[in-house]
Amino acid sequence: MTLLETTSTLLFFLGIFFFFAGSLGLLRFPDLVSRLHALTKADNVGLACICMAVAINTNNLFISIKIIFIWLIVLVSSSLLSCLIAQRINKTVTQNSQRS
Amino acid sequence: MMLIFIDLIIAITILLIAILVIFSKSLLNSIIYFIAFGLLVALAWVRLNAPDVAIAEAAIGAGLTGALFLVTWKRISKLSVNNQKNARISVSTTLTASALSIFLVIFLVYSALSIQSSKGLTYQIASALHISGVTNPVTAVLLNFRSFDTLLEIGVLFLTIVAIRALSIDARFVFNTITSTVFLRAILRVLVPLSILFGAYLLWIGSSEPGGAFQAGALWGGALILLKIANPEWIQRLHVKSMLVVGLGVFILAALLSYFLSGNILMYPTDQAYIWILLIETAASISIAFILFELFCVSPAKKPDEMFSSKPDNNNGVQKLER
Repeated sequence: MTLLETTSTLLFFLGIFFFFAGSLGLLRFPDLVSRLHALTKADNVGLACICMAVAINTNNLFISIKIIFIWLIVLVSSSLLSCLIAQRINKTVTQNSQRS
Repeated sequence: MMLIFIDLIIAITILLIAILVIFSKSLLNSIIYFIAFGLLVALAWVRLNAPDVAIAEAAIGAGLTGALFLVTWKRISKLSVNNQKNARISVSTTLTASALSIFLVIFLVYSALSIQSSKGLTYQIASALHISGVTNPVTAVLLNFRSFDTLLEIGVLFLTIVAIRALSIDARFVFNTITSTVFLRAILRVLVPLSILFGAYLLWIGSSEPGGAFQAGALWGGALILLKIANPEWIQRLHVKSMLVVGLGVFILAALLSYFLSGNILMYPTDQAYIWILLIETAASISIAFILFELFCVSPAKKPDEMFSSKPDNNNGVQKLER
Protein backbone atom coordinates (compact mmCIF):
# COMPACT_ATOMS: atom_id res chain seq x y z
CA MET A 1 0.00 0.00 0.00
CA THR A 2 1.31 3.41 -0.88
CA LEU A 3 1.13 6.37 1.46
CA LEU A 4 -1.80 7.85 -0.48
CA GLU A 5 -3.79 4.62 -0.26
CA THR A 6 -3.18 4.36 3.47
CA THR A 7 -4.27 7.96 4.02
CA SER A 8 -7.38 7.39 1.94
CA THR A 9 -8.31 4.24 3.86
CA LEU A 10 -7.75 5.95 7.21
CA LEU A 11 -9.89 8.93 6.16
CA PHE A 12 -12.58 6.57 4.95
CA PHE A 13 -12.80 4.78 8.30
CA LEU A 14 -12.71 8.11 10.14
CA GLY A 15 -15.66 9.23 7.99
CA ILE A 16 -17.56 6.03 8.73
CA PHE A 17 -16.96 6.58 12.46
CA PHE A 18 -18.39 10.11 12.30
CA PHE A 19 -21.42 8.97 10.30
CA PHE A 20 -21.98 6.17 12.81
CA ALA A 21 -21.74 8.55 15.76
CA GLY A 22 -24.11 11.00 14.05
CA SER A 23 -26.69 8.32 13.29
CA LEU A 24 -26.45 7.04 16.85
CA GLY A 25 -27.05 10.57 18.13
CA LEU A 26 -30.03 11.01 15.78
CA LEU A 27 -31.59 7.83 17.10
CA ARG A 28 -30.72 8.06 20.78
CA PHE A 29 -30.70 11.74 21.78
CA PRO A 30 -33.77 12.87 23.71
CA ASP A 31 -34.95 16.01 21.83
CA LEU A 32 -34.79 17.76 18.49
CA VAL A 33 -32.07 20.25 19.35
CA SER A 34 -29.62 17.61 20.53
CA ARG A 35 -30.42 15.44 17.52
CA LEU A 36 -29.82 18.36 15.20
CA HIS A 37 -26.53 19.03 16.93
CA ALA A 38 -25.39 15.41 16.54
CA LEU A 39 -26.43 15.24 12.92
CA THR A 40 -24.89 18.47 11.66
CA LYS A 41 -21.59 18.14 13.45
CA ALA A 42 -21.03 14.50 12.67
CA ASP A 43 -22.33 14.47 9.11
CA ASN A 44 -20.34 17.43 7.90
CA VAL A 45 -17.06 16.06 9.22
CA GLY A 46 -17.95 12.51 8.18
CA LEU A 47 -18.81 13.58 4.66
CA ALA A 48 -15.64 15.68 4.49
CA CYS A 49 -13.51 12.68 5.44
CA ILE A 50 -15.19 10.37 2.93
CA CYS A 51 -15.03 12.98 0.16
CA MET A 52 -11.33 13.50 0.83
CA ALA A 53 -10.73 9.77 0.86
CA VAL A 54 -12.46 9.39 -2.51
CA ALA A 55 -10.79 12.49 -3.95
CA ILE A 56 -7.34 11.11 -3.08
CA ASN A 57 -8.24 7.79 -4.63
CA THR A 58 -9.40 9.05 -8.05
CA ASN A 59 -5.96 9.89 -9.56
CA ASN A 60 -7.75 12.55 -11.58
CA LEU A 61 -7.59 16.17 -10.49
CA PHE A 62 -10.81 17.17 -12.30
CA ILE A 63 -12.87 14.46 -10.62
CA SER A 64 -11.25 15.23 -7.25
CA ILE A 65 -12.31 18.87 -7.54
CA LYS A 66 -15.84 17.75 -8.45
CA ILE A 67 -16.01 15.58 -5.34
CA ILE A 68 -14.81 18.44 -3.14
CA PHE A 69 -17.56 20.57 -4.70
CA ILE A 70 -20.12 17.94 -3.69
CA TRP A 71 -18.96 18.32 -0.11
CA LEU A 72 -19.17 22.12 -0.27
CA ILE A 73 -22.69 22.08 -1.72
CA VAL A 74 -23.90 19.58 0.86
CA LEU A 75 -22.33 21.80 3.52
CA VAL A 76 -24.27 24.85 2.29
CA SER A 77 -27.56 23.01 1.95
CA SER A 78 -27.29 21.22 5.29
CA SER A 79 -26.54 24.48 7.09
CA LEU A 80 -29.66 25.94 5.45
CA LEU A 81 -31.75 22.96 6.55
CA SER A 82 -30.41 23.07 10.10
CA CYS A 83 -31.24 26.76 10.23
CA LEU A 84 -34.83 26.08 9.10
CA ILE A 85 -35.30 23.25 11.60
CA ALA A 86 -33.78 25.33 14.40
CA GLN A 87 -36.13 28.23 13.58
CA ARG A 88 -39.09 25.90 13.82
CA ILE A 89 -37.90 24.54 17.15
CA ASN A 90 -37.49 28.11 18.40
CA LYS A 91 -41.04 29.02 17.34
CA THR A 92 -42.40 25.92 19.02
CA VAL A 93 -40.63 26.70 22.28
CA THR A 94 -42.01 30.25 22.34
CA GLN A 95 -45.52 29.00 21.49
CA ASN A 96 -45.37 26.41 24.25
CA SER A 97 -44.14 28.87 26.85
CA GLN A 98 -46.87 31.35 25.89
CA ARG A 99 -49.51 28.69 26.29
CA SER A 100 -48.43 27.53 29.74
CA MET B 1 -57.61 -30.13 -18.35
CA MET B 2 -56.80 -29.78 -14.67
CA LEU B 3 -54.99 -26.49 -15.32
CA ILE B 4 -57.92 -25.00 -17.21
CA PHE B 5 -60.07 -25.88 -14.24
CA ILE B 6 -57.70 -24.07 -11.88
CA ASP B 7 -57.57 -21.04 -14.18
CA LEU B 8 -61.36 -20.94 -14.26
CA ILE B 9 -61.52 -21.02 -10.48
CA ILE B 10 -58.97 -18.20 -10.21
CA ALA B 11 -60.83 -16.06 -12.74
CA ILE B 12 -64.21 -16.54 -11.06
CA THR B 13 -62.76 -15.91 -7.58
CA ILE B 14 -61.16 -12.67 -8.77
CA LEU B 15 -64.54 -11.48 -10.01
CA LEU B 16 -66.28 -12.52 -6.79
CA ILE B 17 -63.70 -10.82 -4.58
CA ALA B 18 -63.90 -7.69 -6.73
CA ILE B 19 -67.67 -7.59 -6.16
CA LEU B 20 -67.09 -8.11 -2.43
CA VAL B 21 -64.62 -5.20 -2.39
CA ILE B 22 -67.25 -2.88 -3.81
CA PHE B 23 -70.32 -4.08 -1.92
CA SER B 24 -68.82 -4.97 1.45
CA LYS B 25 -70.66 -3.07 4.19
CA SER B 26 -67.69 -2.25 6.37
CA LEU B 27 -64.77 -0.28 5.02
CA LEU B 28 -62.28 -2.51 6.79
CA ASN B 29 -63.73 -5.64 5.19
CA SER B 30 -63.47 -3.94 1.80
CA ILE B 31 -59.80 -3.23 2.41
CA ILE B 32 -59.11 -6.81 3.41
CA TYR B 33 -60.93 -8.10 0.36
CA PHE B 34 -58.90 -5.66 -1.73
CA ILE B 35 -55.67 -7.17 -0.42
CA ALA B 36 -56.96 -10.64 -1.19
CA PHE B 37 -57.93 -9.37 -4.65
CA GLY B 38 -54.37 -8.15 -5.25
CA LEU B 39 -52.96 -11.51 -4.20
CA LEU B 40 -55.34 -13.34 -6.54
CA VAL B 41 -54.41 -11.08 -9.44
CA ALA B 42 -50.78 -11.91 -8.67
CA LEU B 43 -51.76 -15.56 -8.91
CA ALA B 44 -53.33 -14.89 -12.30
CA TRP B 45 -50.07 -13.31 -13.46
CA VAL B 46 -48.21 -16.44 -12.38
CA ARG B 47 -50.61 -18.51 -14.48
CA LEU B 48 -49.96 -16.14 -17.41
CA ASN B 49 -46.25 -16.96 -17.14
CA ALA B 50 -45.26 -13.53 -15.87
CA PRO B 51 -43.71 -14.20 -12.43
CA ASP B 52 -42.00 -10.77 -12.34
CA VAL B 53 -45.32 -8.98 -12.72
CA ALA B 54 -46.87 -11.34 -10.18
CA ILE B 55 -44.30 -10.44 -7.54
CA ALA B 56 -44.68 -6.73 -8.27
CA GLU B 57 -48.47 -7.00 -8.05
CA ALA B 58 -48.31 -8.91 -4.75
CA ALA B 59 -45.81 -6.48 -3.24
CA ILE B 60 -47.22 -3.18 -4.52
CA GLY B 61 -50.85 -3.93 -5.38
CA ALA B 62 -51.67 -6.05 -2.37
CA GLY B 63 -48.95 -5.33 0.18
CA LEU B 64 -48.11 -1.66 -0.09
CA THR B 65 -51.49 -0.34 -1.25
CA GLY B 66 -53.22 -2.54 1.31
CA ALA B 67 -51.03 -1.19 4.08
CA LEU B 68 -51.70 2.40 2.97
CA PHE B 69 -55.44 1.71 2.93
CA LEU B 70 -55.23 0.27 6.43
CA VAL B 71 -53.38 3.32 7.73
CA THR B 72 -55.97 5.58 6.08
CA TRP B 73 -58.77 3.51 7.58
CA LYS B 74 -57.23 3.87 11.02
CA ARG B 75 -57.18 7.64 10.66
CA ILE B 76 -60.69 7.85 9.28
CA SER B 77 -62.11 5.64 12.01
CA LYS B 78 -60.63 7.99 14.59
CA LEU B 79 -62.45 10.93 13.02
CA SER B 80 -65.94 9.46 13.06
CA VAL B 81 -67.61 7.52 15.81
CA ASN B 82 -69.92 5.63 13.43
CA ASN B 83 -67.18 3.52 11.97
CA GLN B 84 -66.04 2.20 15.30
CA LYS B 85 -69.02 -0.11 15.49
CA ASN B 86 -68.16 -1.78 12.22
CA ALA B 87 -64.50 -1.96 13.09
CA ARG B 88 -64.57 -5.59 14.15
CA ILE B 89 -63.41 -8.03 11.51
CA SER B 90 -65.80 -10.86 10.89
CA VAL B 91 -64.57 -14.44 11.31
CA SER B 92 -65.33 -15.37 7.69
CA THR B 93 -63.26 -12.46 6.40
CA THR B 94 -60.32 -13.43 8.58
CA LEU B 95 -60.50 -17.04 7.44
CA THR B 96 -60.83 -16.16 3.76
CA ALA B 97 -57.99 -13.67 3.89
CA SER B 98 -55.57 -15.90 5.77
CA ALA B 99 -56.32 -18.95 3.61
CA LEU B 100 -55.77 -16.91 0.45
CA SER B 101 -52.57 -15.39 1.79
CA ILE B 102 -51.03 -18.73 2.72
CA PHE B 103 -52.08 -20.20 -0.62
CA LEU B 104 -50.54 -17.31 -2.47
CA VAL B 105 -47.30 -17.09 -0.54
CA ILE B 106 -46.63 -20.71 -1.51
CA PHE B 107 -47.37 -19.92 -5.14
CA LEU B 108 -45.20 -16.81 -5.13
CA VAL B 109 -42.24 -18.62 -3.62
CA TYR B 110 -42.67 -21.28 -6.26
CA SER B 111 -42.83 -18.73 -9.06
CA ALA B 112 -39.90 -16.73 -7.71
CA LEU B 113 -37.83 -19.89 -7.82
CA SER B 114 -38.95 -20.61 -11.37
CA ILE B 115 -37.83 -17.26 -12.85
CA GLN B 116 -35.27 -18.04 -15.47
CA SER B 117 -32.39 -15.68 -15.91
CA SER B 118 -32.91 -13.81 -19.13
CA LYS B 119 -30.53 -11.55 -20.98
CA GLY B 120 -33.08 -8.75 -20.99
CA LEU B 121 -33.45 -6.31 -23.84
CA THR B 122 -29.98 -4.80 -23.72
CA TYR B 123 -29.05 -6.01 -27.21
CA GLN B 124 -32.31 -4.90 -28.85
CA ILE B 125 -32.02 -1.45 -27.28
CA ALA B 126 -28.36 -1.06 -28.22
CA SER B 127 -29.07 -1.99 -31.84
CA ALA B 128 -31.98 0.47 -32.12
CA LEU B 129 -30.29 3.30 -30.22
CA HIS B 130 -29.21 5.15 -33.37
CA ILE B 131 -32.82 5.82 -34.44
CA SER B 132 -33.95 6.94 -30.97
CA GLY B 133 -32.49 10.45 -31.28
CA VAL B 134 -30.56 10.16 -28.00
CA THR B 135 -27.48 8.22 -26.91
CA ASN B 136 -28.45 7.38 -23.31
CA PRO B 137 -30.25 4.01 -23.42
CA VAL B 138 -32.41 4.84 -20.38
CA THR B 139 -33.72 8.03 -21.97
CA ALA B 140 -34.21 6.16 -25.26
CA VAL B 141 -36.44 3.61 -23.52
CA LEU B 142 -38.32 6.13 -21.37
CA LEU B 143 -39.02 8.74 -24.02
CA ASN B 144 -38.91 6.90 -27.31
CA PHE B 145 -39.36 3.14 -27.26
CA ARG B 146 -41.73 3.05 -24.28
CA SER B 147 -42.78 6.69 -24.16
CA PHE B 148 -46.41 5.66 -23.76
CA ASP B 149 -45.56 4.34 -20.28
CA THR B 150 -43.93 7.64 -19.39
CA LEU B 151 -47.00 9.51 -20.64
CA LEU B 152 -49.12 7.45 -18.25
CA GLU B 153 -46.63 8.08 -15.42
CA ILE B 154 -46.93 11.83 -15.89
CA GLY B 155 -50.70 11.32 -15.98
CA VAL B 156 -50.61 9.48 -12.64
CA LEU B 157 -48.53 12.29 -11.10
CA PHE B 158 -51.04 14.82 -12.41
CA LEU B 159 -54.00 12.88 -11.02
CA THR B 160 -52.25 12.64 -7.64
CA ILE B 161 -51.82 16.37 -7.36
CA VAL B 162 -55.39 17.02 -8.54
CA ALA B 163 -56.72 14.67 -5.86
CA ILE B 164 -54.52 16.21 -3.17
CA ARG B 165 -55.48 19.75 -4.13
CA ALA B 166 -59.13 18.71 -4.08
CA LEU B 167 -58.74 17.40 -0.54
CA SER B 168 -56.91 20.68 0.21
CA ILE B 169 -55.33 19.69 3.47
CA ASP B 170 -54.19 23.13 4.48
CA ALA B 171 -50.91 22.95 6.30
CA ARG B 172 -49.40 26.19 5.16
CA PHE B 173 -48.17 26.87 8.66
CA VAL B 174 -45.03 24.96 7.78
CA PHE B 175 -44.00 28.21 6.16
CA ASN B 176 -45.40 30.41 8.90
CA THR B 177 -42.74 29.26 11.32
CA ILE B 178 -39.99 30.45 8.99
CA THR B 179 -38.64 33.97 9.17
CA SER B 180 -36.52 35.10 6.31
CA THR B 181 -33.34 36.09 8.11
CA VAL B 182 -30.24 37.64 6.60
CA PHE B 183 -28.45 34.31 6.88
CA LEU B 184 -31.23 32.46 5.05
CA ARG B 185 -31.40 35.00 2.26
CA ALA B 186 -27.63 34.92 1.81
CA ILE B 187 -27.63 31.13 1.43
CA LEU B 188 -30.70 31.10 -0.80
CA ARG B 189 -29.04 33.61 -3.09
CA VAL B 190 -26.39 30.98 -3.80
CA LEU B 191 -28.42 27.82 -3.57
CA VAL B 192 -31.48 28.71 -5.65
CA PRO B 193 -29.70 29.76 -8.87
CA LEU B 194 -27.34 26.81 -8.42
CA SER B 195 -30.15 24.27 -8.22
CA ILE B 196 -32.00 25.83 -11.16
CA LEU B 197 -28.82 25.76 -13.23
CA PHE B 198 -27.96 22.22 -12.21
CA GLY B 199 -31.51 21.07 -12.95
CA ALA B 200 -31.24 22.52 -16.43
CA TYR B 201 -27.92 20.76 -16.87
CA LEU B 202 -29.43 17.43 -15.81
CA LEU B 203 -32.28 17.92 -18.25
CA TRP B 204 -29.87 18.72 -21.07
CA ILE B 205 -27.39 15.95 -20.32
CA GLY B 206 -30.21 13.39 -20.03
CA SER B 207 -29.94 12.61 -23.74
CA SER B 208 -26.42 11.25 -23.45
CA GLU B 209 -25.64 10.62 -19.77
CA PRO B 210 -27.63 9.72 -16.65
CA GLY B 211 -30.09 12.53 -15.94
CA GLY B 212 -33.42 13.61 -17.37
CA ALA B 213 -36.82 15.06 -16.62
CA PHE B 214 -37.48 13.47 -13.23
CA GLN B 215 -34.09 14.39 -11.78
CA ALA B 216 -34.32 17.94 -13.12
CA GLY B 217 -37.88 18.24 -11.83
CA ALA B 218 -36.83 17.13 -8.36
CA LEU B 219 -34.09 19.78 -8.23
CA TRP B 220 -36.36 22.52 -9.54
CA GLY B 221 -39.02 21.49 -7.04
CA GLY B 222 -36.47 21.96 -4.27
CA ALA B 223 -35.54 25.36 -5.68
CA LEU B 224 -39.23 26.38 -5.70
CA ILE B 225 -39.61 25.42 -2.03
CA LEU B 226 -36.54 27.51 -1.17
CA LEU B 227 -37.97 30.42 -3.19
CA LYS B 228 -41.23 30.12 -1.30
CA ILE B 229 -39.29 30.34 1.95
CA ALA B 230 -37.40 33.39 0.75
CA ASN B 231 -40.40 35.25 -0.60
CA PRO B 232 -43.86 33.71 -0.12
CA GLU B 233 -45.65 36.42 -2.13
CA TRP B 234 -43.50 36.17 -5.20
CA ILE B 235 -44.34 32.53 -5.90
CA GLN B 236 -48.06 33.37 -5.93
CA ARG B 237 -47.50 35.33 -9.11
CA LEU B 238 -46.43 32.23 -11.00
CA HIS B 239 -49.42 30.54 -12.53
CA VAL B 240 -49.08 27.27 -10.60
CA LYS B 241 -52.15 25.60 -12.09
CA SER B 242 -50.97 25.87 -15.68
CA MET B 243 -47.49 24.75 -14.65
CA LEU B 244 -49.02 21.59 -13.22
CA VAL B 245 -50.79 20.86 -16.51
CA VAL B 246 -48.06 21.74 -19.00
CA GLY B 247 -46.15 18.43 -18.82
CA LEU B 248 -49.14 16.20 -19.41
CA GLY B 249 -50.53 18.69 -21.96
CA VAL B 250 -47.39 18.80 -24.10
CA PHE B 251 -47.06 15.01 -23.89
CA ILE B 252 -50.65 14.46 -25.07
CA LEU B 253 -50.21 17.06 -27.83
CA ALA B 254 -47.05 15.25 -28.94
CA ALA B 255 -48.96 11.96 -28.94
CA LEU B 256 -51.73 13.43 -31.11
CA LEU B 257 -49.34 15.21 -33.45
CA SER B 258 -47.19 12.11 -33.93
CA TYR B 259 -50.35 10.11 -34.62
CA PHE B 260 -51.25 12.44 -37.47
CA LEU B 261 -47.67 12.58 -38.78
CA SER B 262 -46.70 8.92 -38.62
CA GLY B 263 -49.90 7.02 -37.90
CA ASN B 264 -48.63 5.75 -34.57
CA ILE B 265 -48.99 7.31 -31.13
CA LEU B 266 -45.66 8.78 -29.97
CA MET B 267 -43.69 7.50 -32.95
CA TYR B 268 -41.59 10.55 -33.74
CA PRO B 269 -40.15 11.29 -37.18
CA THR B 270 -36.71 9.63 -36.94
CA ASP B 271 -34.59 12.63 -37.86
CA GLN B 272 -36.41 14.98 -35.46
CA ALA B 273 -36.64 12.55 -32.52
CA TYR B 274 -34.14 14.52 -30.41
CA ILE B 275 -36.11 17.76 -30.60
CA TRP B 276 -39.35 15.97 -29.72
CA ILE B 277 -37.77 14.24 -26.74
CA LEU B 278 -36.18 17.43 -25.48
CA LEU B 279 -39.44 19.39 -25.73
CA ILE B 280 -41.44 16.71 -23.95
CA GLU B 281 -38.80 16.35 -21.25
CA THR B 282 -38.63 20.10 -20.63
CA ALA B 283 -42.39 20.38 -20.23
CA ALA B 284 -42.49 17.26 -18.09
CA SER B 285 -39.76 18.47 -15.75
CA ILE B 286 -41.52 21.82 -15.25
CA SER B 287 -44.69 19.98 -14.24
CA ILE B 288 -42.81 17.53 -12.04
CA ALA B 289 -41.12 20.44 -10.26
CA PHE B 290 -44.42 22.17 -9.55
CA ILE B 291 -46.14 18.93 -8.56
CA LEU B 292 -43.43 18.17 -6.01
CA PHE B 293 -43.60 21.77 -4.80
CA GLU B 294 -47.37 21.58 -4.36
CA LEU B 295 -47.06 18.23 -2.60
CA PHE B 296 -44.69 19.85 -0.12
CA CYS B 297 -46.97 22.84 0.40
CA VAL B 298 -50.12 20.86 1.14
CA SER B 299 -48.61 17.93 3.03
CA PRO B 300 -49.89 17.89 6.60
CA ALA B 301 -47.35 18.86 9.21
CA LYS B 302 -47.35 17.75 12.80
CA LYS B 303 -48.78 19.97 15.46
CA PRO B 304 -46.00 21.84 17.26
CA ASP B 305 -46.61 19.95 20.55
CA GLU B 306 -46.34 16.56 18.90
CA MET B 307 -43.21 17.50 17.06
CA PHE B 308 -41.42 18.46 20.20
CA SER B 309 -42.05 15.26 22.14
CA SER B 310 -39.26 12.75 21.99
CA LYS B 311 -41.27 9.56 22.05
CA PRO B 312 -41.99 8.00 18.66
CA ASP B 313 -45.48 7.97 17.15
CA ASN B 314 -47.66 5.08 18.11
CA ASN B 315 -48.74 4.51 14.53
CA ASN B 316 -45.31 3.80 13.10
CA GLY B 317 -44.18 7.35 12.50
CA VAL B 318 -47.17 8.17 10.32
CA GLN B 319 -48.08 11.78 10.89
CA LYS B 320 -51.46 12.56 12.31
CA LEU B 321 -54.00 14.25 10.12
CA GLU B 322 -54.30 17.98 10.74
CA ARG B 323 -57.79 19.03 11.61
